[in-house]
Amino acid sequence: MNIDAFLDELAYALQRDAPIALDDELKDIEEWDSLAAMGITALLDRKFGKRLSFDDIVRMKTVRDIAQAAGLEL
Amino acid sequence: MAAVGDLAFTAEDRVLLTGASSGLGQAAAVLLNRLGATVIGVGRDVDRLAATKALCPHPERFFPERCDLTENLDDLSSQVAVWRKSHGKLAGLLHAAGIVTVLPAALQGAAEMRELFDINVFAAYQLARGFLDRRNNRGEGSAIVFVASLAALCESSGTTAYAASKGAVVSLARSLACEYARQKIRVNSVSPGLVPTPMTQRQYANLDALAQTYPLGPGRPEDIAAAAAFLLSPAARWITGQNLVVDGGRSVA
Repeated sequence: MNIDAFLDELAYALQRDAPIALDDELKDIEEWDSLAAMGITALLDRKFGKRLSFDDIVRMKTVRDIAQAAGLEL
Repeated sequence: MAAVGDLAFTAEDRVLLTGASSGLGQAAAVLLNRLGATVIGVGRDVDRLAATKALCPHPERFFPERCDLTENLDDLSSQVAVWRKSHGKLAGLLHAAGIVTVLPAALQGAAEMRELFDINVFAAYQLARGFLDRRNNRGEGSAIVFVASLAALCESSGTTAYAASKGAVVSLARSLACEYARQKIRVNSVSPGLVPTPMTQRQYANLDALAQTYPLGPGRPEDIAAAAAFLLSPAARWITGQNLVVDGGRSVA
């Protein structure tokens, strides 16, 4: 999956209309909360086969961290 | 059967109990066994059912039955007849098997919802149909209890599909109660608040924090088991079609 497709997946999971960039800080994303973090846990598992814990996700700082966890070449 | 008003059972009171290998179902199996009932404990994992049997104070009155309830839903009501033939007529059915998924609705599509409904609702309905067949139950005084959830009644962000399935369970109990009152068979549901179990610990990342929002503090599987045992017992002979909320005061806080 390329970066743009990944960002689309992320936007869908977060139900976010505004654009998301790799260097966005998660805390600055309005839709980012504990439920969204659980959604990202499921997204990484289902679409990328990466099993991370909720705590792993909560520790992430930026969108790039999620992309790296998904195994994308950045 | 035990005397009217008693919260007690005899060995002739056979309770078919799903989800017997862990959590609320396991706690209910142990309690019902301690109160004198014979428990036919249904679960997917033989080893975990054996663990439940080992916890029972009267293991000779716990009969494990391995079954994946969703494997063949169409035939599940017939399976109740198979268990009745093996163990005798049933006095109770407690459907404690179920799953919960905590995810934003955006990530829970029809497939995820169907998976929840298969075990939480369709299995409950099929088991009840099998139990309610006159050939399989003891008639007057027999009782069904479904484990529903507080999510069916209160706000539950992240558990929309689960809440819908448990709402269906509450409605199942109410309608079946009306339909079978003439046979003096009672049908009720229990709606637990969030109770730490292996399943909820897997699904709720913030379980400990959520438990602190309960006025009486965190609940235990045994709290729900006690309510289910009461509703199955003769002590509840005049209660049917009800949904008993067991939530440490969460819904009134």
